[in-house]
Amino acid sequence: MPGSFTRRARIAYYLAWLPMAALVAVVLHLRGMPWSLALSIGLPLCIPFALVCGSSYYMARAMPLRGSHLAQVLTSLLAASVLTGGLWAALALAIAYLVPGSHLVDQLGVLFGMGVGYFVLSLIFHYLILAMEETRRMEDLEREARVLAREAELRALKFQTNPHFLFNSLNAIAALTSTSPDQARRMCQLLSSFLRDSLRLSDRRSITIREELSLIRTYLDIELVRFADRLTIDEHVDESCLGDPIPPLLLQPLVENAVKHGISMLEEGGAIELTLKKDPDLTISIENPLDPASSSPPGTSRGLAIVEERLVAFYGKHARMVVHRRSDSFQVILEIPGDAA
Amino acid sequence: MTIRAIIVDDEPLARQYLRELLEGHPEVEVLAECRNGFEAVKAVSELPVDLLFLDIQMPKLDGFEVLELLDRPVPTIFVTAYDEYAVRAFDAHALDYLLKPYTKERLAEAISRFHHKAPPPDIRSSARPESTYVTRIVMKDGPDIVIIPDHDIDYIQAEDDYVSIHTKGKSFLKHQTLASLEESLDPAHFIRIHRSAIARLDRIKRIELLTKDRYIAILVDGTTLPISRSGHRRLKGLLG
Repeated sequence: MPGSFTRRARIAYYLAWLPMAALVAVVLHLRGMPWSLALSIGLPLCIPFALVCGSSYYMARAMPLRGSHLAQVLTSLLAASVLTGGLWAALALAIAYLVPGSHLVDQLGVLFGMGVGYFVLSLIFHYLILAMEETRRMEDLEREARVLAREAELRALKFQTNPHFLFNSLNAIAALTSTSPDQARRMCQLLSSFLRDSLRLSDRRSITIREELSLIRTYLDIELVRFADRLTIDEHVDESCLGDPIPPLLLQPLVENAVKHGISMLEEGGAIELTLKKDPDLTISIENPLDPASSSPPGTSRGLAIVEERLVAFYGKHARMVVHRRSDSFQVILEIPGDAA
Repeated sequence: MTIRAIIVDDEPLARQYLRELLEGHPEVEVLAECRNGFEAVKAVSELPVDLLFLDIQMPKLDGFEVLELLDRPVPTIFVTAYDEYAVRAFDAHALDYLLKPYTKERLAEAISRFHHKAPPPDIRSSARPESTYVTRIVMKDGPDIVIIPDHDIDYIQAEDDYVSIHTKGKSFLKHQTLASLEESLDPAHFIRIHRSAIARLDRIKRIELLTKDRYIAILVDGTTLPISRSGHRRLKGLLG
């Protein structure tokens, strides 16, 4: 049996031989052999034959049942069946000489007929298995293609830094140039390093949490210039998770949402709470206060759906995203199993 | 002549930038700076404001809600980083629409529109379509400003020139027609069930047949509302 053959199909093939072998013994008995002889000769006789019939897998593979040569293929298969049936009969004949008094010689005709039939059945079985394998392979290919396409799509989506953030930051720079050139310069530098880092990181499939956090800090430094005392940041980060992998820019859009829909809509502002815990499952939480009178802004649910999809695509289906929307706060929690991170 | 203006923006640097550029326009006198929509509505009712520089995304009330709540129309120049609101801005009869960061020439152009009452530049074709529905309703209740998130609205009834908005057992009157309110609400959540009523879909508990082809809607809170024939057709279309 070839290696590409799935193990289950192989097991099914040999299991199928048990009733076939039993049938041989029954037929031998019905044709006058005592049970003891029918079983002790009939069953062992099937073992080499099962192996021989297994070769029909190669025939099935070498001669696909399609195309213009169907008649030729069927003829070869029939010839192979007759030949194998004959071989089996010949084997029985050899045993008949070795075991005198077995009266096996009288059964050669029946054994030949059954041999041909069994080989044909085995061929049918293997053709079916091949067809199933082919279907599964096609499905795998299709699924793989879908995953690749989706991944490409998600990679395209992840660099979705909101242009308004850029325009507002540029406006702040414009304001600062005359009153505090030093701060304007610093803001330019922050903005450049944010843009450069997000472009650089988003080209990679996986980055470290340390890199993602550094990007988020640069982003928040810029927002701090705009919002001044309206924005504070509470960070609780387990140092042990800093080297763990994360898809690039998974968290940054969540922090950006927290500023845009949370802090910027509050007159007094508030604190963004960023928590990364490892025990050993990784839990990432981003929470921001919310104006109770605001309703969920359009578009956020789509943004969150993308985050969830990327989370699952990267860490596997045991990773979860949980969203708690209370009247005065909004929290996104990412739960990543320890063995996935 | 002097133009008495107020600046409405929640970001100090944005206010500072505008104020600085306005120094080149001695005819513009800045009466006040407001950090949110509430302050803007209050300032307009208390001060003789000729011109409003108005940001859109702000705490409390956004720029459009501010315009809706003003006692009197005030010529308005929107100042925002968001280009997608341009269409709505001109529907609200804005004088101009400045995109941050703007140049002093662009600001001068906007101010000259105030002098000449020139029609606003037509940027509709370049503006992105703005198709989002309102997610809350704002109105004045005496001196107070009431904000009702759309998910808190149970149903809305027409009362002459007003609509009465029912929320959590209370109702508020707003000067608006039911038809114009209907247009601004998300049809995925709200349905006009009668000439005189809009209901939030998830508040409808069941529909009862009163007499032959006369239906009423019974809401979760027990209110019954009439359903017109066309309202019933729409409901059936929505609920399948």
